[in-house]
Amino acid sequence: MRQDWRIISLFIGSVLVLGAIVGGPLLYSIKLSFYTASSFFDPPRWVGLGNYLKVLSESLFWSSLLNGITIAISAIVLQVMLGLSIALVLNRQFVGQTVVRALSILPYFLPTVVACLITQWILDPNYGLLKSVFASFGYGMFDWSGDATNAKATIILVSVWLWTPFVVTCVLAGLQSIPAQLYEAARVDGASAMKQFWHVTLPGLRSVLIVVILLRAIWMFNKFDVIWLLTKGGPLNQTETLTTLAYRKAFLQFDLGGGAAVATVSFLMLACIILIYLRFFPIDTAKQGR
Amino acid sequence: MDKLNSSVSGSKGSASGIDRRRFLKTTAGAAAGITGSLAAPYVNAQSGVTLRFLNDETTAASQAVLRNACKEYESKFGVKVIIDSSPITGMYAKTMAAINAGVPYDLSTQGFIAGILQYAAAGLIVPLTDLVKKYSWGKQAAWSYKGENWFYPYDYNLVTVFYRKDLYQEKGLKVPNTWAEFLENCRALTVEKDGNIERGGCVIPLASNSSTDWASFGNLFAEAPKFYDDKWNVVLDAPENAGPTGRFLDLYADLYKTMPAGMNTVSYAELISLFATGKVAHTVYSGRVVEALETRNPDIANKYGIFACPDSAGKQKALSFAFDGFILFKTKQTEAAFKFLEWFIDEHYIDWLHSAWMNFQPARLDIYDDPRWKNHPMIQKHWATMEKMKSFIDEGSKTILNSVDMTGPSIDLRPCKLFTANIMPEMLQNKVLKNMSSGDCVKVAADRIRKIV
Repeated sequence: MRQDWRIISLFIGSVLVLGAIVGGPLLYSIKLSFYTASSFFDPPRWVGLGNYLKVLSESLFWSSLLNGITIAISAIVLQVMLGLSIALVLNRQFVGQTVVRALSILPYFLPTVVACLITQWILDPNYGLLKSVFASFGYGMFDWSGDATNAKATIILVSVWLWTPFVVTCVLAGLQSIPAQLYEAARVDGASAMKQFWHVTLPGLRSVLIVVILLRAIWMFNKFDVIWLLTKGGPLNQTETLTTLAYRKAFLQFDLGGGAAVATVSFLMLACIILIYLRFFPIDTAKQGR
Repeated sequence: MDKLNSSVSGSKGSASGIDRRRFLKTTAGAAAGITGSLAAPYVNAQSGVTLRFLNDETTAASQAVLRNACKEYESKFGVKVIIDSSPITGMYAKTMAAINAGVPYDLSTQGFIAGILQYAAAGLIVPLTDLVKKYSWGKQAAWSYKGENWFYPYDYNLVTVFYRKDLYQEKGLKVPNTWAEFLENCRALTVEKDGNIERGGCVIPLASNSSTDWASFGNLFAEAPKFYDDKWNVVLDAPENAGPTGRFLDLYADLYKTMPAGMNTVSYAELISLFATGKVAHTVYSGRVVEALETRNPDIANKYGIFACPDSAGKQKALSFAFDGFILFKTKQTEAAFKFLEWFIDEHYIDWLHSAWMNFQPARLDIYDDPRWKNHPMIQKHWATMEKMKSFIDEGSKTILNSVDMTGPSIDLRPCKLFTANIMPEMLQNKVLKNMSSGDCVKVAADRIRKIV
């Protein structure tokens, strides 16, 4: 009974701390979105829904939303496919398995700034490593930042590079929790490797994949660092997402209310997407089903 | 009883060796001593003052000058000055955070007018008019807002065009006097190989960042289009302004074909490195290029020249520019901070300028005659360049000095928003990346400016 109280008090403590450091700024941001102010020391002026109407009427808001969704979905699909494939390989017994497993997680430890700088050095159209490689085959170098598709692709690839190890780790843990008897039974029934994957592995990984996709979706949709470090939303706002737009408005265009409105809308959209996702893929049911 | 009392008292007294009076005296003395020694650091801290200085000049040399000056100031006056350094891009957020946390910096360097205007409007900084008025200043350096000088400038960052004299000689080229001549020179110096530009004719940034706003519009300013009328109505797309702006975009599109790839992400560092490594024949930047050449490629340091951006007809020259200076926040320690700033200006201003000997082009005119500054070996070596840079800031100079954040009828936050919203860089991008007509580019830009002002 005493232990229960300890747990409850720890839980309440955590909720209070989280409430202060997450809930506080969130509420402040929502409040700010109803005001107009050019800085934090400028007296804010009440504008009601004015910021929302202004923001939602801007084409940049909608193109940023679309960019964010495109980048997030592409990156998640690639991360999950690659992560799953790598985890399946790493789940097999082979010489040096431990070393390869450790190496495969390395990019996860790489600071984002370092990864982005390395990418820029590799892709630099004047001094980059890739330019030398292309030149040795007699080809010219492409300008990765001058074209929307190339710029988006670069952001996606860097995100995949950095975050696939997270998927690998989770899936690998999931794979090890699937009972070996299920595979043995499948083999006895004459199931091929592909059928074992579809009927044993994937259902066994369902709950892990639901959580992984959920977390990656939240993180990718809110991705700021990679985009800002690589393209700053350019060229011509074609890699601008709601996160970079909110930052741009609040801190570069001296429109704190506008920035807060973008952030609030983005938060609400993400919350809705998560609710719909969890409705279709409930985590608890998945566990029971397995 | 008395005897007894006296004997008890006497025995007490003899046992401890002290009577009540002495005991009280000793205790009081000890208490005072303990209190005094415990309170000493507090008293000490009260007698001294600790100032906080936010600095955005992050080179090792500039930081060393500040550090040494602060150490000297503390040893002489007992006032500790803590230096907190941040790149210029982080200054605004850091300053706002400090103010909102109730611990504002006492003084700071500033390189962007928007912050100064916001702090001044909110009553967060104090005017430095008396200090500024002690000296004579170069053109537009000591600008005022609401009748006061809010910052004490130390340098100009004029964006001159750097060119390779050796390449000019090789090709028999002259310093350009018109847009057409500049374009011709850039074309003549462009070297292509396997479909790649091996050496660009020039580099003029295109990225959506401050380097483009700062460095890319000298040629436009030479045509002197108006962005706003006297009442802040946007007139950039009025025929008399849209014409020259559109022609400038045509020029930029032609120049773009002579530039190496990657202009869309080019920033301050690349403007220098591309020139210092011989990858371009022209670049646009301040005196920092010369410092970089001396460090990284001394050979080119003897072969470069500078000129101001010409207009289309050869009648007018212009330079885009920025500036840096000191501001003083309104705190409980403003007076102490002011004393420190005054002392620093008297004692270490020259050292400070020497820490970026070419980039910190003095805004104060008396400095140019000060042998302490002038005798720096590098300034001596590049004196011709410095003299030319000075000729641009003389009051009588006909060279236009302008900046995207200072366009308009008066100093105001509105053009600063134009600067940070990247509207001008995106006007260039619409032209060269989207192939929009120049007229449409100007119209789109003007409409966007209307929305933000």
